[in-house]
Amino acid sequence: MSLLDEGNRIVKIRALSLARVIAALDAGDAAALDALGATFARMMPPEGGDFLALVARARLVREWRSPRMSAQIAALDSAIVEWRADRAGQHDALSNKEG
Amino acid sequence: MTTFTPESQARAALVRVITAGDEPNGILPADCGPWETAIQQVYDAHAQGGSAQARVVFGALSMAHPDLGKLLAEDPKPAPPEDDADRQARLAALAVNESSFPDLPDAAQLDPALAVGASPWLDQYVAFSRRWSPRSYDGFHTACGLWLLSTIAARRVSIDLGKQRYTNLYFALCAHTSMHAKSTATEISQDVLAHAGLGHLLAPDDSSPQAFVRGMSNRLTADYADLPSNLQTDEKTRLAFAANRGWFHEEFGTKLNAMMRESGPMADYRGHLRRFDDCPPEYRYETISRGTDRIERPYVALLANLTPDDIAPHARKGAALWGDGFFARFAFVVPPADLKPSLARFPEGERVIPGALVQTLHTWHERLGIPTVTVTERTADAKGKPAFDAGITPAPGQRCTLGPGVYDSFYAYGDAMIITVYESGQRDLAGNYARLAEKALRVAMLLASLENQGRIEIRHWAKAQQIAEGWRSDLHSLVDALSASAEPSREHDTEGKVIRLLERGTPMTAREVGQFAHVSSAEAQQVLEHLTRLGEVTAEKIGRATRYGSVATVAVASVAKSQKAATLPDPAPATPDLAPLSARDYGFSVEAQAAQSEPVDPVEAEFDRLLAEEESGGAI
Repeated sequence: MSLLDEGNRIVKIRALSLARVIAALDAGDAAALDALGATFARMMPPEGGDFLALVARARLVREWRSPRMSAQIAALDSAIVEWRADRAGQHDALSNKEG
Repeated sequence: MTTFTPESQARAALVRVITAGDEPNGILPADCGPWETAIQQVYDAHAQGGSAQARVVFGALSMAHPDLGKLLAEDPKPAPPEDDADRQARLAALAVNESSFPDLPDAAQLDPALAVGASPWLDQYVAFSRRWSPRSYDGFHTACGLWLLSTIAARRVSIDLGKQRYTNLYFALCAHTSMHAKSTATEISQDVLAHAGLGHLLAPDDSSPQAFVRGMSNRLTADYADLPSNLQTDEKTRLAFAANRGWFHEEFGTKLNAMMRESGPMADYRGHLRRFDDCPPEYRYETISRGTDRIERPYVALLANLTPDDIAPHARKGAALWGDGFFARFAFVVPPADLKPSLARFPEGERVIPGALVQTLHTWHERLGIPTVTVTERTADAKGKPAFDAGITPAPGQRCTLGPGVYDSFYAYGDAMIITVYESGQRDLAGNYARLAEKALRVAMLLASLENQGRIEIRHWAKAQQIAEGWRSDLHSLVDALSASAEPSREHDTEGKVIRLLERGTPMTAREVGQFAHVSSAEAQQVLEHLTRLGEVTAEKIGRATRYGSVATVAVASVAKSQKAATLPDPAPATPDLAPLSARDYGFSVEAQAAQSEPVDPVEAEFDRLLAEEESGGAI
């Protein structure tokens, strides 16, 4: 794959992920965020950035697009915390299973 | 006996995963006391994307919890590899603000001391300009000095590197009106040029693109035969440098607006300026009314003043001028947003330009040689009036050579720029980044030609790279300023209207969007295409029409529908006006949808497939 193609692919994955992360944040859907995070990690090469940065970006975009929704930012934070906690829970479950 | 504390366990876990890049085995997050959650997140990141991902997450967490960062800082062998630390810091910054300025990679860093003494003339010019334009942003002085050199070089200084390269530079001095004294700084450079007796190197203040090109062609004035001999000599002097011009434009914002009107009289400048920057051997421009104008060896050094408000409508994310290489050819000189306007005062007394400044320029100009103009009389025209042809033989000029280490430094910097912009994902800036090394080379050539017989030593390169890095930083100042200024106007601009319209949930054609948003169909089409490129709007072809929808609305519907589908699969689209939806929204498999219609984009199809796997728990 050429450098240009690779660059285009990264941009495309970011755009797709960003749009859906925004929607997942809107819905406060931690499971959707989880699935998007995993999909992002599977598709994105190491040079493409990380998912947490994308989530941070999504929050900025939402805030930027709809200042009226800034009150909901706190709810988004909760969704992210919940998402992380779920991930931690899954990790524990997996570790226990393997152990 | 060693005592394990939660801190020591957390530190050991981080040393293993972050510093050594090993698997996170041996230490349980639960043993890390207050750091349990953080260590768990680092482990999760490692599971997702290895050490690189873990380091990014650690960097982001350390910003929120400085005590976590201290755990590693207290370790005797704390530092991650240098290159990774740099990347980690940049990506951590990305999480906070995507448009922040990425640092220059270590491989391209040069000791600032190397640049000392690279150009006594430029140092003297900047000191003089600072004194007599004390409220100007410092970058303006350097830019004006370099524009002077670029104008005087007039395609006479070159280097062989892959092809013959010249020293033309385009500068855009961009600051809010009256805040950082653009005009005072530029006036000084024009005064110095005039004092050196080289004012004839300047193009007219303003002209149409047709007149600009005609002025650069080797046509003698129509009344040449009637001129007295001294004016004929002046005309030949003008013609010698007609194709190699310095151009100062005080109100470039107005010009930019005019250039962007597709069928407007100034639109051709976009193409002209891009082509002239490449310094082709010849440029032909044909118009129906004027016939063909031919410019031999064109060269333009441009100094343009404009304000962020001027450039804002044309420099939004994804704007054409970023992508088509027009902005990429400019060195943007922009004060940082947090730079307070200076209140310094002019010195008392008359401004006297130092003789040494002027003399150095004049001597250099003569050393580079003057093109020879030969005027020959042709057969008289139909009315019996004599006609003349002019031929121009280029001046010998100067071919620069590279001293030890310069070639490698040039490539190190150029490669670093490409990698940096590639990693940052800022596609709009890719053209600017890719040309920074070339711009630095042009600066180094000018400095070396002026004061070192054309031999580019490492000090010239170091100075040039330092200057180019300033321009890179300024470019980010511009992008950040535009990004910040976009926020309050968002509610009122067309894009905002269109997004809000589509967020109501009904896909629309460009014509329908135009009707509801009260803009023309053409404007609506342009905005929709722009938003589609940014991924904020989806486009679906239905028959001959294209319907646009908000990605946010579609994805929300997608989440809601997939939740519904989990309990009651319903293969029929419940709300056909919400389009386009992915396969999972209807409870179909991806394969079933693929059988109905080809995926629009392979990356999107892959994304949908993997996401469906994740959502169904099928991924390992």
